[in-house]
Amino acid sequence: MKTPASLSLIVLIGVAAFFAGNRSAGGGRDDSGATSSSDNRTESSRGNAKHSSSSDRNAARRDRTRIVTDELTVDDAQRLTPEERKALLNKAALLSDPNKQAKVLCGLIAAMSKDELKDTTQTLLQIQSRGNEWSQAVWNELWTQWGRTDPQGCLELSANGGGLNTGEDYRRMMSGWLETDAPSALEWANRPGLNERESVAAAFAISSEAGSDLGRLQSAILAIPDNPVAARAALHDYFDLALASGEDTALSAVYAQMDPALQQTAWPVMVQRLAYSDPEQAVAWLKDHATEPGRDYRSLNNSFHRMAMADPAAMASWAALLPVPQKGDPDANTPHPAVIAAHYWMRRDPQAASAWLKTQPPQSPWRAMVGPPAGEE
Amino acid sequence: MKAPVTAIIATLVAILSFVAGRWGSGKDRGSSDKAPAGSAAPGDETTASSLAGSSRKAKSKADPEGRPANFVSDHALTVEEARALTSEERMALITRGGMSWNSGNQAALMCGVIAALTEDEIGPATQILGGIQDRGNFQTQEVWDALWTQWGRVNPTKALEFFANDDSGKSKGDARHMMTGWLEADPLAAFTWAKQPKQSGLEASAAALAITRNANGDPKRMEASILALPADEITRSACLQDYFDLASMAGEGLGAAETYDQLPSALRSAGWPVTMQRMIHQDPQAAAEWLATHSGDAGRNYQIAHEMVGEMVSRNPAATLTWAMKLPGLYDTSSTRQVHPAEIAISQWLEVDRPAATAWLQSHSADASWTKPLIEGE
Repeated sequence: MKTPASLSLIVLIGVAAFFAGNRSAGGGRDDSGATSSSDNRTESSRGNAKHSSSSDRNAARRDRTRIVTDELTVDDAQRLTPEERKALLNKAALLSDPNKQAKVLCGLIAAMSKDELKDTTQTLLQIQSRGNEWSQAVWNELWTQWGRTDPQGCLELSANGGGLNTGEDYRRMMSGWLETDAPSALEWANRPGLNERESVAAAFAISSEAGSDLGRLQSAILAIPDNPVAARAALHDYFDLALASGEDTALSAVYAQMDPALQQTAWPVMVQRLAYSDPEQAVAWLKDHATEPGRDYRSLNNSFHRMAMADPAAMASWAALLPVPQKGDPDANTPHPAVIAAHYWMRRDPQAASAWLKTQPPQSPWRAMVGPPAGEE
Repeated sequence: MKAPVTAIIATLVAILSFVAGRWGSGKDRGSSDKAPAGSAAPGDETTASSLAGSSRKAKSKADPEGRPANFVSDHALTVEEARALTSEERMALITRGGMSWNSGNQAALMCGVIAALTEDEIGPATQILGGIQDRGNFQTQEVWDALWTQWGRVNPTKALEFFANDDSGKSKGDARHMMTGWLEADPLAAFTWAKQPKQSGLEASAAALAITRNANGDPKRMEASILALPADEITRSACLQDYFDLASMAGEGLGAAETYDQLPSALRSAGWPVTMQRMIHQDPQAAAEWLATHSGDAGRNYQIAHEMVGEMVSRNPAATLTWAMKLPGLYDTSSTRQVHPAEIAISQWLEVDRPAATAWLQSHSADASWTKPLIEGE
């Protein structure tokens, strides 16, 4: 055999053997038995594009609506008509398994238009009010999609009590808004007059815009126009990022390295975060920094109550040493930590609490607010 | 080239090409080499692939292209990266991640680390996160889901202690995530446990997930599995919730009432409250009609309808009372007597408008002896 002919023969045999191998492994088109029902549906949808007869289209539509699914991707949901999505939502809205809810509804919601979202929100809220709880993932996806498609509409709906509820809801909405129209989202975030939860969304936008650059985030927070709630929420993001990216994981080190202009706003954030991880450390830090201008007992109110519940006597001993807010201070109308401790102590052990109160200066506010010690009435 | 040489080369090329073809096909197919749907054994038989199958799939993300809801993704670790750390480093990351305030940051920082926690680490990690949550920083559901899934993977026996009673503060979702992890790690042991009688609704819900997974999306097989369970109402009821889920999403999808009608008679009693509950979720008016026509069935459970009856009374007390008094059981004096919808209706009406309720009773109820304790109890 001549060399060129031999080479051609070898190449032909090689190609044929490759395809034979591929086919024997099931890589060919004839392995439909091994595909899932959702794969079949995808194939039929693709086939639908090739064949234009109405019977084929109808068959494909029937096929699409007869979804046998544990899971629905955005792509799957986008191939459905709005009516089909609504029908599927009504079925999925009755699912009791939270994981299955999320797997079906998240894909469905992510494919919805703003008009569909109004109905969907109403349906989900209504069914929840009748007792079927939704997985948090479903709410997260719903608010994100609102943010992608109609953030202003979502804010209006929420102002009337039919939409966003928690700060987390607002953040999710903002995350969707930033995806589709970041300039408008940022313009809104820097607007004055936002309420507390809107400010959480604003903080998310501002922190998100700074990326993962601590310096940029610090500058962005300093530039927040007259919105202390947004600044505080953004400072939480700052601490999150600083701890995630830094070598030094001590919160006090993050606070110490902060621009002094930010420390005042960061004071309550700092002490609140310390209390999450180590209440004793939080108390120690509080005592050392109680005279700084950012001091604000309001941010620790829950922690104070928890500490007082755990050991009111111990808390009273250190709380009594903390400065008393003066008129004009942000926490002037908040109960002093020693008052909280004394209240709990009086309930648990009135005799011991009264004895301690007798040792306190008469002008101390906790003594006045608790009332005269037992036996002095 | 000589013919024998050509033949040898051609044979070698053919073999190599065949192998290359098979290998290439395998890569393309990815995870599709699982058992085909419907190939598993029927009924109660367990196959590891049917139980663990779907949990091995990549989790669907609705917004894979979307902007992440966190600022720390640069610092998020994959499971493999987290496994390469020391135990102390992993625990430090859990403490740090748990203190994150933004839920997106929590999930980004911790989910990879949690999936790498060992049997010795999972308990302390749970204590750390629980402690931080108790002190006011809530952990996002995604983090708890990851944690319970990992419990199921590394120490399901210990994890079951958390779900032994329904007042533990844990949710059915937690129990089911634990089961998801267990099914991944040891499906046969998980399924064996699932078939045993259960003490709590949380355990039953976890068991139901295993039984549902084993049915592989086949309602008939699911039915057979439920019927094969020992006489354990709590697990049967939890399984039926999943069964109704399955029936509603398969094919054209069956409504709750249709599903109830098609249940084998042995499952009807346990299916009654499930049907009632789902109908209330969907359409309270249809639910009230269904209750009226099925109040003589064996599984009747009025308690599920109490809230619905309360809602009906707030809209139209007289009509609700007329409807409720026709339901059986009002004069039942047995020890298994359930609080009757008419009692709920009249109690609420008396509370809101006592004169109107009393007047209505006097003019409409020939025998109002059943209302005596309610009126005197005021």
